[in-house]
Amino acid sequence: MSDASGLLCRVALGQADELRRLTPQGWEALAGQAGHEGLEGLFYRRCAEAGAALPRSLQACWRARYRRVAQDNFAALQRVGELVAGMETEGLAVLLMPGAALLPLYPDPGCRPMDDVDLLVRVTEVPRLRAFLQSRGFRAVPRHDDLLVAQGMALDLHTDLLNASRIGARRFAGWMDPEEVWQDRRPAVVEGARLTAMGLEDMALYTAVHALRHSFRRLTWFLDLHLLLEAGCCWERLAAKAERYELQRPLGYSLRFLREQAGLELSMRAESWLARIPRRAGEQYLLRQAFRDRQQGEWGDVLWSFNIPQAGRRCRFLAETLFPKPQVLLQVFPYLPRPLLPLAYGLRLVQLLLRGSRQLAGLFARS
Amino acid sequence: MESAAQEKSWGVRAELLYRKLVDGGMLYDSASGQVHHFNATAALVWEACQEGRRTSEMVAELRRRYEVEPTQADADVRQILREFARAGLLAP
Repeated sequence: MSDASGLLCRVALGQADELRRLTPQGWEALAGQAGHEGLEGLFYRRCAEAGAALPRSLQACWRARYRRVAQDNFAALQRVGELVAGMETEGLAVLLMPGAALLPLYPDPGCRPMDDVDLLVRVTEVPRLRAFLQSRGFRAVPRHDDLLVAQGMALDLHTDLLNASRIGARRFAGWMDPEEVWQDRRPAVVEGARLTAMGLEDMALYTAVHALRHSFRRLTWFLDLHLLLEAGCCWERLAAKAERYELQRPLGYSLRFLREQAGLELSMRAESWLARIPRRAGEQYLLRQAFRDRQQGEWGDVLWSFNIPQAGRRCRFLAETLFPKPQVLLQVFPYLPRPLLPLAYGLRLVQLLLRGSRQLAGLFARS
Repeated sequence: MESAAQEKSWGVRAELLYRKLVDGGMLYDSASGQVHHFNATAALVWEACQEGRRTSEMVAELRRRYEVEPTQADADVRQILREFARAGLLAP
């Protein structure tokens, strides 16, 4: 188990007693990690609940962050509630996705920061929804047609859960059927806003895949998954969906992180399910590296490719991920003028070589 | 000082949304988008206003919770109520 991840998770989940024994150096290290993970607000709350005395400078910094996150999240959800009510009068429907849909799992809105509010939309309704949001003052971020912002709030519109619209070959690596996700939707009250959200099992799977896509960079996603499993997520339904969607590996990786890195216990059913997932050559090694390199690693897509049995499709997945289509490259290089788009592939190659050599240097340094 | 029978019961504007936090609370005005942050004492007074309590009841609760001297508690509660009124948060 990683000591750092374990301590962060224990504190995040309310076991803050060991903070009383922290030295000043320990507090400094914890503060750095909490800041990197975006957990200052949650830690502030847990320390207040446990009566753990924070160093004065940390108290002010974490309190400010807690209050900022609480304000932004609460205001965002009220705005979303108003927008959704307006959408309903026009016959438009959206599903709230993680992270906003996961806020009720946390003690209060100051505990889980969000960059934006993700909404699942039916493909046929996207034009009308964009027009609706534009009439309410939202504007698309340049080069990101589905990311709309207004008054400091961002809405990210999704038509599928794995962003296959960006990288089509992702369909080979598992697929969450949007229509089935719509069928399994449930009503949710999030900070007083009455909304419709994804089902718990769909959110658990989505969170696991999301963590993998982003190379396990944030501890928050693992906390989300743990809280979902504790909140009444039906294990049998989750396992059945993982199998039907061919996403056992991504789910399995996140469960292993919870067990091996965060030191959290899995249910016996989850453990026996985990033991049955076959592993490919090199997968175990890569997973260990991915967990170890979590905060700056890039192993997520490589690991995800292990989920594709056919070699040809796996190659296509990696090729499209490494060199995506032009409109995606324009998002990767936001300052590159459109007429210079052909240069983007060269820039991408340089970017990948730099990242790759950093990863390899890290591997050699440790072996 | 008012007698108990004359003492006003406080109320809050219905359209304001209040959220309790670990160290106090915050108030969201959807019309203006403004957010007011309360420390623990201000949150206690606000929650009492929501329940239609009187000043003397708020003072008693503040004294009970934080072991504050009576004159200090009274001054604190009245100051907070004045600030609420100045910010237009209270019901007419």
